[in-house]
Amino acid sequence: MIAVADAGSAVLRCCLVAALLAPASLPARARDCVAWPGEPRPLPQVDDRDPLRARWAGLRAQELARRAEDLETVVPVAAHRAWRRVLCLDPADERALAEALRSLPLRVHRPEIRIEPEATPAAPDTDVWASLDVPVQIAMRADASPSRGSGLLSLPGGEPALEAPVRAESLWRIERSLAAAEAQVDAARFEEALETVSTARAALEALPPGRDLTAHRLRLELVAATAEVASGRSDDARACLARVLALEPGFVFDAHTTSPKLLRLLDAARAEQGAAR
Amino acid sequence: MRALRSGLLAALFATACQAPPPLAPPAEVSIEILPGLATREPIPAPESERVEVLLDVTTSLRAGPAGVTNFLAARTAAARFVHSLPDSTPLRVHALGLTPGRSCESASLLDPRQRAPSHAALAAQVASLVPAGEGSLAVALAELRSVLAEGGDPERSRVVVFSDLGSECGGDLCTAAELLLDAGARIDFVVLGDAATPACFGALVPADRWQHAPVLDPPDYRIVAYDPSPEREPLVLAEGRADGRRQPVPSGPVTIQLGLDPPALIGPLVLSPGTLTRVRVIEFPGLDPPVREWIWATVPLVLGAGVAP
Repeated sequence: MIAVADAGSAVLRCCLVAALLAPASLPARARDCVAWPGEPRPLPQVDDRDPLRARWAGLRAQELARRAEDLETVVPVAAHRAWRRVLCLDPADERALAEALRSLPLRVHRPEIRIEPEATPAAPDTDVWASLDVPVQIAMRADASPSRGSGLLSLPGGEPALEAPVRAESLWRIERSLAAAEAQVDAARFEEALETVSTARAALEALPPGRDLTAHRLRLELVAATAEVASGRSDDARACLARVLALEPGFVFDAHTTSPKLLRLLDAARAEQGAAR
Repeated sequence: MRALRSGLLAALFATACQAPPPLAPPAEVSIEILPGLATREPIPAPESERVEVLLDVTTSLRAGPAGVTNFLAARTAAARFVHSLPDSTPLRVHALGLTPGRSCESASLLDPRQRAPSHAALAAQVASLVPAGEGSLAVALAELRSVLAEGGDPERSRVVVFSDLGSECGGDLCTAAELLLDAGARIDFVVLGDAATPACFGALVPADRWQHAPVLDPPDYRIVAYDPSPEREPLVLAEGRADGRRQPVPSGPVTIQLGLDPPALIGPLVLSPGTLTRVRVIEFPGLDPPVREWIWATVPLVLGAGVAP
């Protein structure tokens, strides 16, 4: 099975990690962490200087976590919202973070496509949703139309035969590397993340021209910048951000969820580019 | 005797004409509730999630050698998925690219009259789809969102898209996906081929909104003069709503009765003239066990300050 981590989890992870890297004096508050009707304003967090507000935040987080558990199988989107709400109250709650990521309502599946002369029936999957990641087998020979009665759902005849097995693996390998790097940043394994980024960078450079790889390059430089900042190498991080600006001059971080240090470095990179012009 | 009487009268008159001694400023009290959920809400009844499959079988998907693979893979994967869903799961399959021609058309609903006896039968239809035209995936998703919004409960819907994410007919896939997410639906993109995942997908989460879980309304309170002998009728000094507003109260020992369930009795506490006593109560009746805690703090009143909260 080829499971490419979905971009949603990766970026949310990055944002949250970036937020957690922010200095303690600056609450890591997402844009939607505002008080609901009836809740104290501004919405407290568990580290509030006022002990009573901090206590309230802890109890509220506990209550919402229980609510999320109740809703998980019934209204999963509502459960996801509740977990994100818990993170508003307690940004360091690892369980809430894990559950919020696990219950992300947008998922991307990239099943491997297997082209085989004779298809074999796929093993029955007990979890129908997990089957979305199971490799898709296509029974096809280089000089033949699709096979019938091979155990897979039969394909109608008349489909053009493939000239050769086509497996566009390079790009998804790069995506996998990027997802792995993001996961390593998430796990605070910054040096490993930078090594993975380096591999992905080399693979990107090796791809033949003609394809728009801006999104991949942006993702790569942002992961690298986050890891460099976390490792204390501001100059390297600024260089990554300069490359981000070269790819997308209007790029901005979400100021609510990004560490002030990254924001400052992006400003510095932008200023340098302006001066260079 | 007369002299004495006139002396007393003079003294009384003098006393009466004197300015009264300055009154001590009253004490002030504010009571605020930091609430949790009103009660532990009942869990909604479990219902089968509605599944909406959107299969891209546009002619452009099949273009080129890789396209052939992607098209066959998309169709095979969609058919496999439809086949594996239990028949009890409400399911609709929409196919993009069935309308012949070069213009960009909407998705078509397979088996609109729902005559297929089972999901296996529907899967067989999916497996035999052949590209005939073009369509925009983004537009199809936006249209699907409208259908879900009209049809009931998008929060119990899961949309599964099988596509190579081609954009020959344009449209903003990010906006379309965001609309669906904000409506409450979940989306699974099954991407066949090597198209990059739109970067926006990483930032898309459903908008936070106030959920159907109301917190407690501020209860009423009464401040009564403290009386150690409970048989007497309490003397009510002030009453109001525990919304944090400041309220002048005669100074002295008092108790506060809060209309929570069960009622709370706070005190006795002594209200001193010229001070503000701020009482804050945490109330989580929905937790197991319920939590109720309170603290109060007294600070000098700032002269000239109003009584606004």
